[in-house]
Amino acid sequence: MVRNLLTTGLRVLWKDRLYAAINLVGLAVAFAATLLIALWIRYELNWEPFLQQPEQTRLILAHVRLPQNRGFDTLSNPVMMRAEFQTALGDRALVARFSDQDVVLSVGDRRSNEKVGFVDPEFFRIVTMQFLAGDPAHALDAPDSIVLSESAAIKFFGAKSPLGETIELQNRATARVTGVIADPPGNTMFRKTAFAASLSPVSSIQANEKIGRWSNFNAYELIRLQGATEADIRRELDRLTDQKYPEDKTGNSSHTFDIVALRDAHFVHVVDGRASGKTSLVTLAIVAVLIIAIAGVNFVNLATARAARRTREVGVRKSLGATRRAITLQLLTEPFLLTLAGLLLAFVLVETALPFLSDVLGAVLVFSYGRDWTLVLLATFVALLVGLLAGLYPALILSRLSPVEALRAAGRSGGGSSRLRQALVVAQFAASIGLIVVTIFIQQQAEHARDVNFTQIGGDPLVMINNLARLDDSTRKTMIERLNAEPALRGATAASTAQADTARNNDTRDDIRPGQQVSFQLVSVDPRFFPLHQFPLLAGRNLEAGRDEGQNDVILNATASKLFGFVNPQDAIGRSFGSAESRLTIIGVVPDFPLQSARENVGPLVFFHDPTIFRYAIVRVPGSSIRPALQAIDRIWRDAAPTYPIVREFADERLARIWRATQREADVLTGFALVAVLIGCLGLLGLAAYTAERRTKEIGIRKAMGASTADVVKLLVLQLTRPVIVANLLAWPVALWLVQRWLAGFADRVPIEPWPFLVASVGTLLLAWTVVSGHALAVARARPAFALRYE
Amino acid sequence: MIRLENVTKSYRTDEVETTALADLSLAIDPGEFVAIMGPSGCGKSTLLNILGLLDKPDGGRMVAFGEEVSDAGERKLARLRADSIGFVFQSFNLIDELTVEENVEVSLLYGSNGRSNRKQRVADALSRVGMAHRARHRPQQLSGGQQQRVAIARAIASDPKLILADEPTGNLDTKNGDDVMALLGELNRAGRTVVMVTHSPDHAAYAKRTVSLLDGRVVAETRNG
Ligand SMILES: Nc1ncnc2c1ncn2[C@@H]1O[C@H](COP(=O)(O)OP(=O)(O)O)[C@@H](O)[C@H]1O
Ligand SMILES: [Mg+2]
Repeated sequence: MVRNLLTTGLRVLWKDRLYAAINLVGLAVAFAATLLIALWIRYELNWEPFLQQPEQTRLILAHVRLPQNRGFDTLSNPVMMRAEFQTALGDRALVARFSDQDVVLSVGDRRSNEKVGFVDPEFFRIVTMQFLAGDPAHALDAPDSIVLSESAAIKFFGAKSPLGETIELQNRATARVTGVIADPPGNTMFRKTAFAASLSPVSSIQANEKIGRWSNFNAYELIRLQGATEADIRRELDRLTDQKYPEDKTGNSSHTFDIVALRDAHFVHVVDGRASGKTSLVTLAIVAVLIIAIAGVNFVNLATARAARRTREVGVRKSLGATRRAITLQLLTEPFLLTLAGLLLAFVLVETALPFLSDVLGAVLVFSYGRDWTLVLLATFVALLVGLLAGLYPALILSRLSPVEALRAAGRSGGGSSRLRQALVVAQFAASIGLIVVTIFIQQQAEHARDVNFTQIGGDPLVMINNLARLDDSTRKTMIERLNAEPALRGATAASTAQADTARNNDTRDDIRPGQQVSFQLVSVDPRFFPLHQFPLLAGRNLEAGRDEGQNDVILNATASKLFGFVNPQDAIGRSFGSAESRLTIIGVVPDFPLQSARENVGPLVFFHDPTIFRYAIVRVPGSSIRPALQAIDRIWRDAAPTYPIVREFADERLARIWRATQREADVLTGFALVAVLIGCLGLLGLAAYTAERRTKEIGIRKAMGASTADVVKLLVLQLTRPVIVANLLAWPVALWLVQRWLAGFADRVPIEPWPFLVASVGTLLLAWTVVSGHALAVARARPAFALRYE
Repeated sequence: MIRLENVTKSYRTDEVETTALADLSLAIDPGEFVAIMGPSGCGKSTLLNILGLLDKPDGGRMVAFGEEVSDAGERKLARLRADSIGFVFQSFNLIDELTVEENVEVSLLYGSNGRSNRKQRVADALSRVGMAHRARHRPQQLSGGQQQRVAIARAIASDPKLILADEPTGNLDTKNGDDVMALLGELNRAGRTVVMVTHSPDHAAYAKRTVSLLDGRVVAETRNG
């Protein structure tokens, strides 16, 4: 019995190879795409995979709002917070801070710039990374201790055990290696070379502890609950808001806190310019569901369409005594065979595509049948469900027919379910059109954001030196002067902040507009900053070296000029605010340009010239001779600051690095959306073949009545055009709504223009036409005598 | 009206070659009523398909309506079918999804003489065959005889010079068969040329000339009355 079922099933599939191939490919690609998306989503939801008790581990998220300024959200918090928590929660919670810094590590003459996390002793009991040597509970108890990652240990100490060895930090302090951890995986926020004690003299936590200001936000606050509850933390945070920020009550600033699970923190945190992680995951999940739905609909559609063909066979079998059960079983075998084969093929595709996708995403995705059995099981379940849906309808309808009915119905073209089929085709097209529209906008926004940032660095290449802050004031000054004087270069400048920098220096004043608090971001720039970037002045003059040094003579950006109350930039020039040493005198106004991130509004900026807080040097190099220029930069740095290795990169590479994540997500999304559209087309191809076949007789009649090939092609193609048009009418408003919502998350967003909608519509229509017209043409060309012969 | 000279036609399927027409010559004059008879498989349908320009001969010459059509293009053949020829099939060949009215209208969609007052012509054709009261029905709701009358209405709606009927009574009972033959005779008396395939000598008697085929050749021709 089973053998008979299988052989008949296989033979039926073989007889109809086009149908079988279309379904097999469609299903396999759909299952594979969905599995890949599932793997990625799991990877993203599973950050900090080494956490022993993820549900007990929290971070504090601070929301800072300053008057008239957008304010900011940050995972960094005042360093004094830890002591407050320890007093309030005692041993019902472990609390540790984390702050990362670029630090020069050296062992003998081996020296390099590394990312080092400075943490409290409890850190490794909260962030339970795997120790290869040393004691996680006590490794960082001593103020001079450091834990190295495995690759750092090899880099500095080679094959010998590093435990007990010493390492120089910043040429200022010595640390003793007390542990070695496995290299952190790709999905952790704590991907550092080494972790050193927060009490180290090099640690910024230490420095900020001394300053003791609650308005400085410098270190992550990590909490592992051991009996305490979230409510306890909440209460403590509310108390801190109340006691540490009294100005919130009088002015219109606010400082509030949220508790986030450590595992979700990377969605909140702006890592390398990506902050939309969760949105794009949700979008991807939707795409996955759409892909499966489209493939499923195709399959069901084709199967039911084809079932009509088998009416005669069912009639004959029934007249020979087959029971309803036997017929149902037989009609179900074929779709099950197909879906299971599709699933197997999908596993092959996943294994082939996984390394490639991992590469594109910059994430290590793995799939193992043993460990991921739930996923395998789920996929099998979905496959069986699709098979059941595809087989059930025809099986039930056909098996219910009496033999006479079946034989009589065989001659006719199956009309009954064609309305349902039309509806499904419309839905499928609507989904495709919507997907295309949304992805076009996502791509556009990604490119726009990047372009806006890139325009700032137009012209000859710019080189950024990122560790200027390391130098003392006089070295810094000579460095910039020498870079400027160097003939191999096209000029140099410096600033206190740069693209992708999250540090802010905010100020709020009440002496600018009467009765109002005005707040803005302060940025220190070297006078050559504007000419080097080719930013024109809207009014007034540029800063001048020597003459305007200090924080009194300032240049405003256009937004700040408006905020200060000047309708016309010209009106601002020469105006002074405040008194004595806090006086601001406006000497110029520049247009708005993105300073740190295109995702945010530029906001009011106030530029002044204070070399003591420069952190970045920016050098323009001639595009025609980059190599000698870079050599010159390195030489000048080495001469002026021999103890610190230079940290430099091209501005466009820096931007590319920062935007890569965003762009990558957009690309992957586009890729999967295309997969969905292609699967839809595949289904259309099958349906076109079926429709043409079903209408063979009708076409023969029409041809006998004098219809030409063109008439018939027109007929078949027009029949398809109607559902596409209806699909457009359905898809556009939904897509518009989605796009509006998504774009609302960006400050500087692309306008919603009609062309992506038109592209999606015309594109799908053309694609559909191409797919169908081949078949239509073949059928229309056939001699009418042939079409009518078997009647 | 149509002249075939040494026309041949054979079909090839899976290595087997069947000769359907062998060196057949035949002329149909305007106003004639010709019956084609012969055993099953002798090539009657093939001949009718070629006469109706539904299929092309492999060899020989063919002139239809004063034009050489042996190597005419698809567009020209379609035009001739639309304007000059009406078909009636044994199994009616009505389109299930369309109503009686719409089925008749199909024959007016593609020709040059069906553009004006289409509705009127459909109604006229239907009333001539006595099916006007069933205009809104679907083919499946009609009896065989009624379906064949609708098919005849469709064949005459575009006012073609030539009507081709392949066993028009083959699927009908005696009464309905006689009615259909009466209709065809009436159409012929009104001036149309009719070529009909039939197995029934009684029905062949309606025609003025009977052509007998055997193995793709004309073996006999008789004039009636
Ligand atoms: N499309 C076709 N393919 C193969 N053989 C065909 C085809 N059409 C007709 N024949 C063969 O040609 C011969 C003549 O067929 P036909 O003209 O239909 O005969 P009749 O109508 O006289 O019964 C038969 O032997 C038939 O099997
Ligand atoms: Mg025949």
